[in-house]
Amino acid sequence: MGMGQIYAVLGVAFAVIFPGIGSSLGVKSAGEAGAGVVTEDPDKFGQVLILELLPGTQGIYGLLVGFIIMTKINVFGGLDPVTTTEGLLYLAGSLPIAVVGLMSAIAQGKVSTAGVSMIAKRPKEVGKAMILSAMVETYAVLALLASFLVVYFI
Amino acid sequence: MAIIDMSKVDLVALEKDKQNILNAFQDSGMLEVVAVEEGSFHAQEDWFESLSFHSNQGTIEKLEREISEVEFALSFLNQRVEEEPEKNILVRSRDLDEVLQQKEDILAIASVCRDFELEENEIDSKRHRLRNLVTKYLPWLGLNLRLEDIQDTKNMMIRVGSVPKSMAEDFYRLVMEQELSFIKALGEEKEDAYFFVAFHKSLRSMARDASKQYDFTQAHFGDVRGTPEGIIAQLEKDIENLYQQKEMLQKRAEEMAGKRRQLMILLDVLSVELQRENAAYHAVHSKKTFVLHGWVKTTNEAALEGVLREHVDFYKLDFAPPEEDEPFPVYTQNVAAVTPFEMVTNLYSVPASNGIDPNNVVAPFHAMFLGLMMGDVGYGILLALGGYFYGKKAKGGAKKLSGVIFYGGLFSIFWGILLGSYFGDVGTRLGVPAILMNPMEDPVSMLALCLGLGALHILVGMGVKAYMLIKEKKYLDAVFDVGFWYFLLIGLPMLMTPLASTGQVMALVGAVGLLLTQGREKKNIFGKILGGLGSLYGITGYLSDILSYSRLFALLLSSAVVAMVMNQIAAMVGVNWIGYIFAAIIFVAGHAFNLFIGGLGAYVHGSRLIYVEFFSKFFMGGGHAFDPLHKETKFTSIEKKEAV
Repeated sequence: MGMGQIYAVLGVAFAVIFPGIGSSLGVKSAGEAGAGVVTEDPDKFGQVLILELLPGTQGIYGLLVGFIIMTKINVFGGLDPVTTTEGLLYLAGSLPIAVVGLMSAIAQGKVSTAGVSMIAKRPKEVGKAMILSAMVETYAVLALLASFLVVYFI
Repeated sequence: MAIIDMSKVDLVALEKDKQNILNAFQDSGMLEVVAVEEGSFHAQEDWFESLSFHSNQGTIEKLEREISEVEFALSFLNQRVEEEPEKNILVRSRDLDEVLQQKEDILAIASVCRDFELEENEIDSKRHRLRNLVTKYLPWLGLNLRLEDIQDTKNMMIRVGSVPKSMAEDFYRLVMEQELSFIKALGEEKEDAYFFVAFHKSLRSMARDASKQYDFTQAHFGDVRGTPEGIIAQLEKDIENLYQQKEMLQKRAEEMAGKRRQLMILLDVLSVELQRENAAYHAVHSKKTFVLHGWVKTTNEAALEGVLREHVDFYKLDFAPPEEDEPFPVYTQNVAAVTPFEMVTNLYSVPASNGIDPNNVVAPFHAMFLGLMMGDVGYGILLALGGYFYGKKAKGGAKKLSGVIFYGGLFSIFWGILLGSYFGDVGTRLGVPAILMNPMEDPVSMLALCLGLGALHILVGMGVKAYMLIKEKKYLDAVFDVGFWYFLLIGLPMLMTPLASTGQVMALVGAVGLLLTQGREKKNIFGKILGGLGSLYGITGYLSDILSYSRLFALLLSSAVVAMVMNQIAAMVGVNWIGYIFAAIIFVAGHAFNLFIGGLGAYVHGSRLIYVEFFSKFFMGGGHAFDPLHKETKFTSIEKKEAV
């Protein structure tokens, strides 16, 4: 077991851990607000669920980058040898989605929470609430793109 | 691509026919009633005095009160009755009359429900009070005395009370050590220990000091009689009684479950009446006549007049086209395949009445983007089937949404075939090739394709703007504001192709053209130059717009990778017969999850690309959607053959 492999797996861990934390926090805060709204009006569950799920995508983006690294170092077929440089490159490549995924999911959770309170008063505007929340996700998408391209072409 | 022409309606008719007319209009659903501007009457001062506005305010308030009562009764019963209420009740108009006749009886149900709720609350608060009392007497259970008997005797003083747990032991020992005294521990609870203490009167001063030192709190029971055990038993009995009372109430509420049908019908009848009165609110009345203003589709002018003629003899009805720049209610009419996408546009904003209906360009791009972000044959088939069958029975907004999903699904099949994706990499594992490219193997080409589609989308958006300018006969503006940008935006990427020299010329023409023309609104020469430069700087905006389309690639990739992960897990589990079962479960549940999350993302981001990148190029929103007076019901629909 070389250092390269450890760094590469650390890259997988970073990519999955941090956006995962961010997404769970984001989904949590929107979900709490949503539970309040659903108490008042159970019919709004569908709309609330959609808004709650929006900050959840960062976790998936993280898994995506993690999965690419896993296939590149052949985790499923017995782990290929990786040089230390390569391993560090994987680690570095995972950083954009790790950090931006974490922060943007938390931020998006806040916008989604605000959106939930918005549809408590104006249920017809759920589309606008969705779009406001999706605006934040743009930056997670850009980070994913950077991480993906780096990791893919190492 | 059409915003339907509207005509202004000006109706004068007899007051006695008003209800009749409004009824007929509500049935026909063609007329949107708007307020008559008070200003239009001020000129004729002499008879203005006799006009009355909003004369049915009282009726509206009464209706709203009744509606909220019925709504309350319905939700009260729905909360308490297990059985689901009837959905979509078919009624005949005879039933409606019947319900209207029994209105007072049905409203009485509501007040019965109010009483029930009051009674329930009372029971609950009583029960709460009794529970608190029980906890108050619980610590004294060890006291086998009637409370009224706890009294000093001639020589002895008797006290019951508590000390903090931490000091209980010392306190106990202290009293025990004294002669002429007695102590009994009654038990502990939370923070405190409870004691019965008796001592000779000579120890009084010592007792006072000890009670201070050990923080002894004496208990007073007032004039409550009986042993603690007996008191608690009585309380429990009372509580049990209250439970039974509440259960009785619950049973009586359940007996009223059958009334919900009438309540729902009445609610719809009253709502329809309220809709009509809200329209009547806008009318202006004299003693014998009233004036109503509104909008109708120009094509429906004759039909509206027909409705009127059928019901009343005397009226004066005029139609007029909207004045120039006067906003009118917007109704967009499109071919069946485009209609669902009106939902996407209207979610952003209804088009302005003097603008353009963008749905014909929104539809193909939204469906194509949604399909690309799903990008899978399997998911596409599921989406298309789901959208198709759900759309068959859905109505209104849900029907439109299912249309959007259906067409998105079709495009997803299309892209899935091109990109060789069948439930993720199942196709690849079975050796089905990608026709165009496999995004996992050639991500850069895929990204380029996405950005290229984005560039096309933006160019089309600008093209629509040029079309609008040309329609307004502003030909030069079309060339300056769109044409030069076309040259620049198409020329620049050509620099990287074999057509570099042509590209160079095009980009130069575009850039110089923009530099010279974009400051043309400014007064002085510096303003003109700065305006041109500033506009040229706008190229960064186009760059970031196009980069935004990388989300197509990212979402395509994420749904593809999650699908691969699911397949991988299923494949690892599926090694023997038991494994196959688990593999099948993982496969179905995993792909269902991915379809839901991915579909949601694709819809949201597809819409975002339309709103932010596309609409910013040409769209004028802020219109008001045409909303004719009609019968909107929540629970009932009138049986077809009897419908008037």
